[in-house]
Amino acid sequence: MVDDAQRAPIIAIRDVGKKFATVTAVDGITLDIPAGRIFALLGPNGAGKTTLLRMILGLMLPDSGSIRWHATSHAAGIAHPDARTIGYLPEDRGLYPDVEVLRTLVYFGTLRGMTRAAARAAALQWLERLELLDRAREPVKALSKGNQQKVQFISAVLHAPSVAVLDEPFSGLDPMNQDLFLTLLRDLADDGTTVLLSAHQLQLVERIADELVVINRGQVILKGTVEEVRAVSNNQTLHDVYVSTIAEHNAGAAPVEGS
Amino acid sequence: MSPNLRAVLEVARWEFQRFVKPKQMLVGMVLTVVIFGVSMIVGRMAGRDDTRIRNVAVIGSDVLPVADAHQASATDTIRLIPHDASDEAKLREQVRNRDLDGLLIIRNPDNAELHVRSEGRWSTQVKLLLTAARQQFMTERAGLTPAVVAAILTPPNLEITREMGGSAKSERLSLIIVIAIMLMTVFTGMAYIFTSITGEKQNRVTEQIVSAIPAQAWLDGKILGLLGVSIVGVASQVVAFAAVGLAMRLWGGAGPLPLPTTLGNPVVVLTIVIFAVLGLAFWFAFLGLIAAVIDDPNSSTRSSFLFLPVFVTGFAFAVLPDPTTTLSRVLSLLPVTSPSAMPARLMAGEVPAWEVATALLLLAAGAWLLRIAAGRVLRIGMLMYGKEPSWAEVRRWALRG
Repeated sequence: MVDDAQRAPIIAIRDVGKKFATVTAVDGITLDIPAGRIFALLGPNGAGKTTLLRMILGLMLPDSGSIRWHATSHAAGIAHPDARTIGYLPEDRGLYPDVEVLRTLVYFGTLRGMTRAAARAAALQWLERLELLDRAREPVKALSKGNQQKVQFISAVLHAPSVAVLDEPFSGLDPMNQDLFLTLLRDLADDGTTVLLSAHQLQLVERIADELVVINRGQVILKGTVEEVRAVSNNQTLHDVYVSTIAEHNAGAAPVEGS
Repeated sequence: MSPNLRAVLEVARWEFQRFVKPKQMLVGMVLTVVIFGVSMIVGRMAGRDDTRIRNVAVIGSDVLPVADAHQASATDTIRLIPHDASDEAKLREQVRNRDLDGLLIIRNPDNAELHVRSEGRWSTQVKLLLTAARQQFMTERAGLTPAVVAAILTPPNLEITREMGGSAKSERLSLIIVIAIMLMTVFTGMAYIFTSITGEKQNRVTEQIVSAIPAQAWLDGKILGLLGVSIVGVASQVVAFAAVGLAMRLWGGAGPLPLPTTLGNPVVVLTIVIFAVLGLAFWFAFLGLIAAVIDDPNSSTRSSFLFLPVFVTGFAFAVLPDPTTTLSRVLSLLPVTSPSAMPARLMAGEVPAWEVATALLLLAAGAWLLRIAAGRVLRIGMLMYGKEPSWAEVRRWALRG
């Protein structure tokens, strides 16, 4: 279980902006990502979700505003994330096709600060949990798309990060594996890991997210818990709220606060 | 150990193990031995086959005394057969039908024609005979006796003694080998860096890695690991070539090639190794920078830049004729050419200490700065998909990060 201290914001985003040439990808976003919860970033393609995630991870620098990471004590603010405490699942699958599954995982684990022995032990445990143990010695390219996504997921959580940033984690998964991932994400959050995910599968987000924001054209247009967001439109499904809110924003309406 | 250094070593280890496959390397060495050995044997046999006697018809043997020159040279691989000018058409037909190897037509003492179906080493001998015959003709016309001409043409006896020992031939050959090894290593490294960086970019592994470790540590690890891969790869090939070369020399009764005496000095050897390693690091950083700004290696015109280090490294061959010229000294000081030019000069003889120190300093500083610039470009360039950054952007990233 998580205590109140862990629920305090672990990432504070203040008025962050990012432009690429003439395109504004992120336009003055302010957000608090609470610790130990599952936080979903929603939005249409090109809304700025991946750019925001990359800036949170320090892969890109914002043109304006600030992103601050906080230790779990909430007292010591740090400007840049410690890579050893973060797990990342990129939107585009990033694995070495010709390298064995286990070797790949051990490598990614060591880059996150684990010893080879610890990375190997953790990788074997995760592979067993995700029913891939018998594929450990096979090259990644021999696996199906869904199984490759499982390997990608393991590489993000292998080192037991305090924050798991997952960009499209349900991509390529069948319904059974989607359910498996929902269980895994809930288990991570229950163990105190902050899960920050971006996804398009709204019915899955509705089942798993503690809090969410909808981003459109680089701006936050809706935020709150699932219940709060659904309450905005008389308890419609998240899908209905999402579609109508984006349509209204595109038509020029002001952002909506769920809470 | 700092986390950064640990990351560098992890990446280096990963790259090394990803590309160095002992079984494939062994197969490569065996193939080199077989192919190089067979080509050497075939070449030697072809040389022996070339001793077959060639039949060359001569028209105009009364114009120049080629028969006398032939007799004097004691060349037994060519048989000269005098003919009248009226036989020319018939003889040319015989050349075409391979009944004759050649037809030499001497029009006057200054002009001759050699008709052949295909040229061989023997055609050079025909030219030498013709030259000797013309010299004899001109000597007689000038009223000089052969003894006087021989006295005029005989050079003074100059005995060269190398006080430091060794031989010019082995020294020159060793220089060529050192430069060739450097070229091979840069070329091999180019292939590995290119495959490694553009491959990871296409597989989208880059984001995963630069979210875990700094881009600079990643690049440093790559440079270190692929440096090891290139050195091991080239060393295995050099061993294979050396084994075949030594076997062929022993077969021919020549014995092993003597090494330059300068290589007996451990300080010189160590200096050469430092230059080579720093030079490779310099070029690998450059290659990393270029590979990071290539989006699609199959269509990018920037791929041609990857060959630049190979060409520039080849400039060191300019040192060969004389390592003491101004050009040689300049090439051995510039960071882009010093990795191959300075070792060549060091092997050829003594180089002032200040020149070695300056070249080393410039190369180390150049490699360091290029490494920093490449790390900055890599950090940003690796996340750009679908479009290549302009050179202005690359310059801005390299300078400011």
